[in-house]
Amino acid sequence: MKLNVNGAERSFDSVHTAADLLEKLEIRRERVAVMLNNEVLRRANLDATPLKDGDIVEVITMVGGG
Amino acid sequence: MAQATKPATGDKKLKIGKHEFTSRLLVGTGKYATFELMQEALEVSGCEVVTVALRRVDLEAHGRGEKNLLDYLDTSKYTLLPNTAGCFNKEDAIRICRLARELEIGDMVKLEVLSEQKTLLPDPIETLEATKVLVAEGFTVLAYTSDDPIMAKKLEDVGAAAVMPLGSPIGSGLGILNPNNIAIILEQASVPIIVDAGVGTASDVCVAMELGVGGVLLNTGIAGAQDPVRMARAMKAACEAGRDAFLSGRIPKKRYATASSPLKDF
Repeated sequence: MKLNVNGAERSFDSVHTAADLLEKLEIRRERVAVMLNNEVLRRANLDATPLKDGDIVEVITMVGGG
Repeated sequence: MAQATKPATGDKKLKIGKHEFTSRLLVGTGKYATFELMQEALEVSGCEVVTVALRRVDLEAHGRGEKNLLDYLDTSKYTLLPNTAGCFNKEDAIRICRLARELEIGDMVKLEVLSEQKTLLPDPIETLEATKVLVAEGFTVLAYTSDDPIMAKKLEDVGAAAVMPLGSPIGSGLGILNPNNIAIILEQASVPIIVDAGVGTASDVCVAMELGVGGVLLNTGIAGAQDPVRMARAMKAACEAGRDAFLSGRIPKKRYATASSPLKDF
């Protein structure tokens, strides 16, 4: 499946849900928030949110700021 | 570990919505040369609230196992205040706040909707509209705005838990350019007024606190100093000095002298 993740096209095998994608990227879900096609996903729904070819995913975290 | 700042005798806590803080200095986490330096400066500043920004995970850096901000922030010690920096319309700012909610770092947000790149001055109208939406969604909104008393009051009226007028443009280091406006804002406010942006050095914090603001939020003034840790200490002292001076009730200004020593019986 091809996804656009944080602005870059990438292919993933055996990724079916938003939670799968985080696992594949080795990202701890408690450290990020996820947007799918510009909609904010609730953390509790990551397991139940299917991804499909061409989806645009943004994985957001905290960085230094004022 | 340093102790939390002791309140000045008889002082009350800074109350923002349902949150209470002893320290009146809120400090940003941006622009430090290293995370270690940031950690030390935050510690020395005595702050309890730290601002953070939300951005894409750098997947390449993550893949290399590089550490990130969260590895250096003790979230049991600091209340994180996510900002909407970099947003130029209400939709983006609201989306960032919703993302912040999913990060489960609390309900406080620093709402910052900017108008354009050169001045980074706030867009008060977009800010007002975004505040209404976010308040309805249960956020504790700290609204960054211009030093305009009318807009400050309007933000309070739509439910902002704190209003944060700028001292001067973000990162400018110009200090409090319109203390009279800040004083008017304070006179009519019933939520905390926190001066945000423009603080260049300790005296700027002190001036703001002497006016009676609830707190001061700064980032570049510390992070950009040649010795950020020493500057953090200066900012902490200035914040406490200014607060004490405010609570003490300063003498009125007069045009002519009043002798401190008796002028007769030599």
